[in-house]
Amino acid sequence: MKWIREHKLIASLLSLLVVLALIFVLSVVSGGEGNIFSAVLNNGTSGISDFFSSLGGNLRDGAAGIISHKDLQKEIDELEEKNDALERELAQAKLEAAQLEQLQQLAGLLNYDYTSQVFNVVTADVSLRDNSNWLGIFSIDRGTEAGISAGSIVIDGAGLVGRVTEAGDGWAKVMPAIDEGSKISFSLARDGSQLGVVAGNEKGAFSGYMLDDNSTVAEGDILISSGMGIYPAGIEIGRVKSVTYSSDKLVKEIVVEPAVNFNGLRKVAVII
Amino acid sequence: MRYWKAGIFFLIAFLIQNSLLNMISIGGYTPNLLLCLVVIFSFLYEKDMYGLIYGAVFGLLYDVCYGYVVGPTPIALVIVAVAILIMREYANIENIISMWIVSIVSFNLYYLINWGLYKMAGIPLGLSYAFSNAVWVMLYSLAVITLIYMIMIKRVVKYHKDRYFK
Repeated sequence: MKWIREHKLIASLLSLLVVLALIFVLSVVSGGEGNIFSAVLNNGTSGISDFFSSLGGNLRDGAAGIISHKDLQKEIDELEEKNDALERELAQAKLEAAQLEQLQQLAGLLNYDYTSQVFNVVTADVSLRDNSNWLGIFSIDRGTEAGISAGSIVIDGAGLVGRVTEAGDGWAKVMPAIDEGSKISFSLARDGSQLGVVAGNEKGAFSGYMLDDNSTVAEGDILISSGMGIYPAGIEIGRVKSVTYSSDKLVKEIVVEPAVNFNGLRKVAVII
Repeated sequence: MRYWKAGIFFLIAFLIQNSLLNMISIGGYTPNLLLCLVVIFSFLYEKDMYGLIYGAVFGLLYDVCYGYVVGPTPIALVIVAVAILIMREYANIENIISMWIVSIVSFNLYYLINWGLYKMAGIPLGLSYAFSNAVWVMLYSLAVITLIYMIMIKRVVKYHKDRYFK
């Protein structure tokens, strides 16, 4: 006690660090998932942060529009051409959809079991992202009001992004798949019978192994989620960058380049 | 500077870090404003310990709102603030080179502690990969700190270039 009275500042600092360390340990033990404080604070601050986020987006878009007027005009012309081509494709797709519907009705009549790959998704904008942190956690502007909950899977046009760790009214926190230690079960896109497991590695990519050491996996192969585990089947994970045979583990080890560009994410879809 | 004024700086940094600041990102990187403020306030205001107190408070808020686990940011910021208070004894606050050296040491210390704590929490990222990203943030943050320092030093040390002013 005498030491504490004589060294008040050091004692206060040590107490503060001990309290923070305890909070950290409790947070790690609880698995980093949401807590009541997080939900309350996020609900409180999401409105203010969204304001700043949309303000930043508007200013950025406005400034970009002024600076790159000619480029934008060129881009508009290109998009119009693409739009025409897409409209033609859409007309063709409508015909094919009608045919598919007929086939599905036929499958129903024949009691044929097929796997549907149609996900029920909610689209969302990336609202908050800290680019000064090497961990890629970000927030989106949709939450529980849209049916999003902790554990919901997040994808974008290119493939698997990650999963929701916490959600509230108008916000959800997303943990990218590459930053998380959890394993993802996959199959090769060209051959669904060749299975394996990958996880985020130390270099911001995926690494893992094939379950069968006779697998014909090769550089450039596309991996999709197999449906085992938390991720539904059919989501693109990435492309195989390298394959090596580990004589110690007797498995084919692979390094995978993620399909998604995590730094450029602006819009995502959440599977609910 | 009064406590509430320093608090407003930290509050603004906390609110714009993940939103408005992204519009000035260079190559996808933004300065770490919270860290910048902890460094500058700890370096310029020794007795009041703004950096230490607000670093703990807003670091905690930051982790609760945006972090994967709660704790790494405030712990790293508090340790950085204490380290600066120690380094300050050997540095001349009127010299910008001292500010740069203290900042570089502080940034590395912050990211090392932050990485270590996240590693303990089970995040798989390697040290070399984490620092290869952090180095750009550090450079950007150093530019921001230089700017803030040049504005604030005039308020902290009046006539700081004139040693014989009476």
